Amino acid sequence: MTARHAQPGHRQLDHTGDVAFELWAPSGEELLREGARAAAELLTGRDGAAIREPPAEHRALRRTTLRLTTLQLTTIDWEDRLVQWLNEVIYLAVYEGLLVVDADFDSDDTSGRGTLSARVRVASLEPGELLTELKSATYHDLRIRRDDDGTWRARIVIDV
Amino acid sequence: MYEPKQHLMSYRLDHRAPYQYVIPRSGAMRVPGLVFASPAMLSELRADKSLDQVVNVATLPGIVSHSIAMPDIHWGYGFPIGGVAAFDPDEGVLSPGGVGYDINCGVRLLRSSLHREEVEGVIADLSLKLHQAIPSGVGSRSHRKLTAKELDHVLVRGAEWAVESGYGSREDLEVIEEGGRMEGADPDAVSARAKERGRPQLGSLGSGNHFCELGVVSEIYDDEAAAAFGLRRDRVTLLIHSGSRGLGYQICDESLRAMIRASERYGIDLPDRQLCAAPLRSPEARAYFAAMAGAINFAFANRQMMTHFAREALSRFFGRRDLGLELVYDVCHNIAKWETHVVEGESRRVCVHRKGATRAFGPGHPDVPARYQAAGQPVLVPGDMGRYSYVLAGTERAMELTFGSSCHGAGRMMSRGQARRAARGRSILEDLRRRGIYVRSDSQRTVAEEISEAYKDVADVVEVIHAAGIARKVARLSPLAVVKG
Repeated sequence: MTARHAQPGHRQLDHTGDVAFELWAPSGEELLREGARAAAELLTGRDGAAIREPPAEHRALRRTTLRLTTLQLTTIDWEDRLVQWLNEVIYLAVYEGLLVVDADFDSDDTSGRGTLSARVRVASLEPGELLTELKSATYHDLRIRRDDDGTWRARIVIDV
Repeated sequence: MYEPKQHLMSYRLDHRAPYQYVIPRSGAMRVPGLVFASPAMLSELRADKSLDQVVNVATLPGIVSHSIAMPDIHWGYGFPIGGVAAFDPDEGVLSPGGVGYDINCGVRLLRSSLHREEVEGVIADLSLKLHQAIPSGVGSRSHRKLTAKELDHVLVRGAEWAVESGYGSREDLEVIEEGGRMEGADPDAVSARAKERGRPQLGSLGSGNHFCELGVVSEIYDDEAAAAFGLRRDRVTLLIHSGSRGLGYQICDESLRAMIRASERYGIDLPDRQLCAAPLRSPEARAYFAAMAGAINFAFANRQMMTHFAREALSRFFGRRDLGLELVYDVCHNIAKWETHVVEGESRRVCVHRKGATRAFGPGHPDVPARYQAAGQPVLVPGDMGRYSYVLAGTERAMELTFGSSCHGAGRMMSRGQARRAARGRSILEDLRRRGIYVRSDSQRTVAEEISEAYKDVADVVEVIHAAGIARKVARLSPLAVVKG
């Protein structure tokens, strides 16, 4: 079931030790994309829209070349998929200096068990753009729910 | 789809002794919970999910005695931060979530012969020099990028490698937990990506709550123990708080993935996936232990290198080398280790997980360095950057109650977002400077997130520890210059 009208979104929740997000989206793939936006926001302090379509003041980002990279994940379900995907997003930013701006996914199984291929659009981070060094997305209390209208919802804790 | 267990009820907490509360066994709990807290702390704990986490840990197979929470406990993920749990070698499990992402995050303390008066007028400059000497901040990289072969040596030999490579002296090794070298590490158990993350980072502080702090002994509570630790009032000290950097995070992340699958395979019922674990005797647990031990050694070497950078910076600054900058002790607060403890009158080998908890072995324990045999092991408890930190000593009581463990810090009270909101519009650095504390950081955001109010008052935490007898107060340190990540 797909929620055709639900817009993807996220909000940061207060969590004492770490950082938590609530994510929602009309499909599993959209949820992964939204997770990447939330992570990028945390990493750079800019909001999702600014990352996708940088306004004039973000000249640094305009100068960077966007490029494609691919990756593959082997996962046991959608929760595992979300954690592993976000950890790739964090790895690319913190260790490769690349911010994920968009992604297309290709999966051999809708249950989340199996292989997920991602074609990822990344932009180079300028020195100083990275505001924080996230450690990892966690599995803590993570459960992806489907609302009655088909919206996918997750609450995820990131160790910072 | 995976379903974490939701605890909707509030727990029964039985007052057992001053500052000790027991959560009786119920449901899937295999042992009771044991929480060290003041009545005021308890009401705060009830407001978040940290007690759920204590209860969840109590359900893991082979857990011995109690699922223990220190007074600096706060809501984390998987195991609570400030949690201690020991597991039986045959029935028990090893859990990467019981160690945490920053494997062997820990603290070390150096003393010096410098008097407060010698540094007071020069703190601004001195803090700058320290900041320049110790690579810190987001994505910080070391002065030295290791070769692949050197990294393998680091993973096996820890601080010993650092000393042999010119960072510090052999005497330092005598006062590091495990002698600065954890046995059982295997570089082949550490993935290529973990090594890639670690290679440029050895000898760097990192970001977040990691710090290097020049302070002064502002109070002595126990003359004998302070003398044994070489701590004298008004003498300058140095604290370094850091861990295994990206290498540790990567090992934890990969091990969690392997352990989630192992938990399914071994039929371990998980109330929270972050608690995933494998039987201690399984190949999965052995593989994690070998990688974790490598990260422990990486962190020991990391703190040892930064100690050297700080010593060099201070020697250059004062134009002399006789500053008496000697290591007092180095403790780990995210670790799993094999130890022998007396449980219900019987001496047993158990695997102790300490996540945000410090080993606190009492006087006479064979693992306590010879010079501290009478006093007990030094326990280092850093507070926030604007207040104070404590030096405690391990006790016999800790051996009886907590598998020789104590607290590790103040414990966060505000989320990072709340702290940033609370800091908005204030000049945090200027306020601290007026109180004689110079904080250097590349990140204003880190400074805002680390404001004093974001933490519990570490004095309250230490009072509970001291009154419950699971460590005793030796000295208080007050900050003068802080390098924040």
